[in-house]
Amino acid sequence: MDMATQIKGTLTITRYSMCKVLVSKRIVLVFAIMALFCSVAFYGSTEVEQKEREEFINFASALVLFFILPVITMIYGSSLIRDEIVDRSITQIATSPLCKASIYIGYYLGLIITVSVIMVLVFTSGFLIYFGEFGFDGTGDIYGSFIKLMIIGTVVYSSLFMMVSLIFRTPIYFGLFFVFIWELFIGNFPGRIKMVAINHYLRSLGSNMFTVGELSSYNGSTVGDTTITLAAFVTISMILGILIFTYKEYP
Amino acid sequence: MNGPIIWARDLSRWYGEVIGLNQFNVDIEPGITGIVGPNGSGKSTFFKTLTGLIRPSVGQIRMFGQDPWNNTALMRDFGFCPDFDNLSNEQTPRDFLTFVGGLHGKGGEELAKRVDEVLDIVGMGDAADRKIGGFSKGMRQRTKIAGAMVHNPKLLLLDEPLSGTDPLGRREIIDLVKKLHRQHGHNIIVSSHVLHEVERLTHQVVVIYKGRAVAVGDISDIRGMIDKHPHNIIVESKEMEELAKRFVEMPFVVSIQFNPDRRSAIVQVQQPDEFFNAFPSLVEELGCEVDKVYSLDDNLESVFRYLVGW
Amino acid sequence: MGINPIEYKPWKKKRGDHKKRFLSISSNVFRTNLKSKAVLGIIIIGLLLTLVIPLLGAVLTPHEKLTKDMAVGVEEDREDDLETFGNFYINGDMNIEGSLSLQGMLTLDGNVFGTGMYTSANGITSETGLNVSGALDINGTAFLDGELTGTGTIYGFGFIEGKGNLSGDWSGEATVFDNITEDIQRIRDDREMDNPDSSPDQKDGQTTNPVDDDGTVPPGSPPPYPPPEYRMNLTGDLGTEGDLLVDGEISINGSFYVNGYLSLRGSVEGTIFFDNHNMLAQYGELTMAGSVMVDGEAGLMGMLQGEGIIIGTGFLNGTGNVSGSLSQEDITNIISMDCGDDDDDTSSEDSLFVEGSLTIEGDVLCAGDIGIDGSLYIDGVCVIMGNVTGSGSLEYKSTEMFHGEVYVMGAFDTNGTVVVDGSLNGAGMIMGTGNINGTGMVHGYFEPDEETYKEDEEIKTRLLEMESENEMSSYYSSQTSGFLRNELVVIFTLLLASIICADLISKDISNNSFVLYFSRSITTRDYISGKFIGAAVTLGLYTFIVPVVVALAIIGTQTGSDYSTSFVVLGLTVAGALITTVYFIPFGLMISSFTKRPSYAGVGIFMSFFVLIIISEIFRMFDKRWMLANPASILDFTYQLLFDRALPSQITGSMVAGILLTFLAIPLAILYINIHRKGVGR
Repeated sequence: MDMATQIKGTLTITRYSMCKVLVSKRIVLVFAIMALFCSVAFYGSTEVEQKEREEFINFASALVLFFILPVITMIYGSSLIRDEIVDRSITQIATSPLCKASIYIGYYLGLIITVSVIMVLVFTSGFLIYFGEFGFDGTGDIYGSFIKLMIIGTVVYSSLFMMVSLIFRTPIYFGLFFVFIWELFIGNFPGRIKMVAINHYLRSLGSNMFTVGELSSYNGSTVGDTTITLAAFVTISMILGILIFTYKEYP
Repeated sequence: MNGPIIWARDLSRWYGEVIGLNQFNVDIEPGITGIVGPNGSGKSTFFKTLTGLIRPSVGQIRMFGQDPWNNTALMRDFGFCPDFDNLSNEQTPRDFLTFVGGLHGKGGEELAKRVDEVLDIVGMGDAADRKIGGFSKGMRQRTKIAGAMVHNPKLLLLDEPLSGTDPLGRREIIDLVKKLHRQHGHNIIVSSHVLHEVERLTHQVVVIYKGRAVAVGDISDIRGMIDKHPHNIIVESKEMEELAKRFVEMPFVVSIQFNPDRRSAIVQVQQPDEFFNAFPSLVEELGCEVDKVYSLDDNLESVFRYLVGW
Repeated sequence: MGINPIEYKPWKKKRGDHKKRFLSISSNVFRTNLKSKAVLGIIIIGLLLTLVIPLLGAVLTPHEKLTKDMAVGVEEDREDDLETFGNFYINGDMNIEGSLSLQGMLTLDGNVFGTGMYTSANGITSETGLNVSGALDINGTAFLDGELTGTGTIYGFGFIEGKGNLSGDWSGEATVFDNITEDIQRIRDDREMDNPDSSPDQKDGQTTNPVDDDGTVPPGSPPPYPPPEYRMNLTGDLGTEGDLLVDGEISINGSFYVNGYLSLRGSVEGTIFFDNHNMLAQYGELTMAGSVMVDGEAGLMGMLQGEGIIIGTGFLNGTGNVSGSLSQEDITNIISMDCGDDDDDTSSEDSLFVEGSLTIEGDVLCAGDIGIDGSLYIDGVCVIMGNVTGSGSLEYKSTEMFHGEVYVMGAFDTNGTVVVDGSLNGAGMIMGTGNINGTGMVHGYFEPDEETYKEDEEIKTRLLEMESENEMSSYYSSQTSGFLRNELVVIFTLLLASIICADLISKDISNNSFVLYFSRSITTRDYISGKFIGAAVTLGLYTFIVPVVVALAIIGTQTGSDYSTSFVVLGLTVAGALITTVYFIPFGLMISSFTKRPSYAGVGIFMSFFVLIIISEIFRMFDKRWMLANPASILDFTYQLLFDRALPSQITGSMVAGILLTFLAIPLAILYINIHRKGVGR
């Protein structure tokens, strides 16, 4: 297999999936979510008389990190390949001389780049609104930490939802179950059981990044353990996804 | 290339209880080959198996000697134009072809040049930068065909390229297909249930019915092999009765059926060649005027009718 | 004039027909949903997770009857809250049973007492603070981020924490006690009985530990300890991140947290948590000339030095050093705590007596005895001139051999465990029923006392029991939600409602089935009623069955004979279950009518609810009435109203009823308009 061809093909699919995500009716949802976060940030900024980093971290992590991020990733990740299978536009790609791993990676890269950009836009808009009134001194670390966590979350959730979209005919229902029951419910159990939820590891990373707020006092796994677990999760999801995609039929 | 470009042996594929292909055996030679059969006969299933989109349940299929399932290298050698519309209304033909070319690892000026070339070949040069959403069915089909050939494959697989097109569009596509073979050297396999139009494209056909290949080869040869069905020949003459009396004496004439006006008759013959050889001398001997004489059966529809029992 | 086919509805007068029509729609909906694997799967999983366990729990737990507590959980105490954004001036006493949230300044000429919470969110400026001229008696939690100034007395069982400064001339009167142990115990008991006004009383109306006119204590008498009224008498916790200057004694039965400089001229008595990170600066010291009595936790990160005595039953830990001139003379000034048979040996009154656990990560120099009934952990050089006695454990560890020594010149009598990883040297006697283990060496002339040697199993057993009790008490922390009020049920209901309602209308839109329906004698009302009832019956397989079956099981297995109460609660449960069943459907149908794609509708329904829940949770940080935006809370409040429970302050029954009706009526109205436009035409 010619590596140059594979790379070019992968980049073609990356560009293609980025366009698909951005140029679709679902982008209206993104604007709605951005408006939601901005209105929450605005309301929060009117309720405090001075810059409250802790308040911002608390509500931004609850809303953006543990709700908006998994939901957006679920909506796009579940539908990126599945919609093409349903409307059969995947035929063009499936009959191209690209190995299925390259195709899958192309989709994945397109997804994580676009969702990361969307999340950064959503977060930045609310951040500017909240801190705009009080000034941005000393908020660089908050911004940076959130961006890092969102990107990590995007990488992890995308790998899961893309893989799941190949298994289920309506992966959106699995996504709803995972995000709203598994992550939000089981992820808040005390004890070790919460370690099966991805948001536990995001919180663990957050506890090392933030010095104030609820996240800072989260009793989670160490950075090393978190990194290894998430890396292993993404790797396994990607490998499973590639295998399923390779041996899947497109009748 | 010597030998068949595609062969299948006992190829079967089923979807649950529904049989798509059933011990399908075929050898397809280079050139233009038509796959004909009614809806649901297995044409699309055959194409999907051929392009590696699905795997056979049983049996084997080979394209250029290779198994197409999970064979990414083989996918350089063919271009597939599916029966369904998978074009995005927001793209232009140029965008679409650039995308497809990118999937084949092409890019830059080389790809741009090839895109222009292909668009000219299919006759879409003027509409290259118009949005596909505003195209007619025929234009969309031509765009799809362009997508199948942008990487200059050896073989083009066109699944129902004529479906949904108006007569003018069909003619354009038929001419295009012939041009692609004649001028550009592509081998082409075309599927359709529009029999007379497949005939216009090629005389090499594979007749498929209920998942089986019921006949493979030249239309006339196939017809000739259907011995149990006599040929029907129309004869029109003012002296039809006289002629009929002599026809009855011929050993290869099976029956004669007069039309109500008694100026024409349908003559069923077992050996049409023998009949046509004897006919001129008979006419001369009787000194009658013959207005018309032609065979009703030397076409695909009659072949199809006899083979599948319509 | 011809008939208008749209308006012509000859069946309008035939009521019976309507019933058949919408019932046929609803039965179709029900049958279709029963064939859906997703719906059945969620119902089955939901029943397994949320029915089986409560059912078993209800049946197996002995009970007399079905009560409201079982259905909706134990009634929570709700205290009134007082919230103010401006300044507050009180020319009298303030009694807080709920919470006091203050954004402005509170000036109080009276006393503050109560069991509530005082929160001040202001920063450290002189204009914002709590200025108290009377007493500040706190039995709840007081968060102080501003300045607490005043001249009064702080006492109570409460907890003060925050970043503010505590300054002022807090005066009080001390009481001198005879038998410190008993009296302190009594004080603790008094206060535990919620007698916030109790201050250390004089025993029998007299000052039992007399002091001389010059304020000194006559020899042979126990010191005036504790003084009758304190400069700062705090029974709760006090934490301050500023400096603390106390020109008197501090008596604390809570925890005392200082992250600044503490300069104390008097004694510190009580439970101390001293956390000072400035180990090497002069600000990081606790210098005292009195005694430190520790009954709770005392955390020491700085240096504790002085000439006083550490006594008590508390826990002193930290990374600082404990040093001082603990001289024999001081021993006579020590009040004996509870060190066993001290009657027999008056000289063995302890310099350092630990009844709880004491961890010292510095050096220990003890000129007197060490009595341990708890555990003593030393990670430094330990020189004990006196005896080590007690029934506790001595754990001694050091990483350097030179420092790894315990010298005991007296008797080493322990009934607990002694772990020595350095060397144990001495010239005394080792006796007791405990174990000595470790990796160190024992040197000296320690002679065992064989007569007092016992099996150490008893000790081990006691320790094990304690551990297991602690584990069990934390494991069985009470869960007060009932079988009707159950978060998991709400989530499953929401999921199920989303899946059931998602394709009810959207599929008809995408298949153009309205033509089929409305070309027959079916009105929009029939159509909506049919869909609604079909969805409700399907959803009711879960939402109705869970609480009603559990309630019936409880009634069926009750031991008492009060069935009337049980059936009343059953009736309320049925009503609650019905409300739960119908609650989510109108909204779900409305969303389904907006789109052709069932998957979009399903996601939209589910996410809409969660967005409302999350907005509510975030905004209620600022205003509690935002709880009304949370559909799950509305349902919860409805149960509260149904079962005659109190609602949170600022939330009234009419608000809840209004929101509930809005949540039912408005989606139905929008749905009607949508269907009417799509089905009948514009």
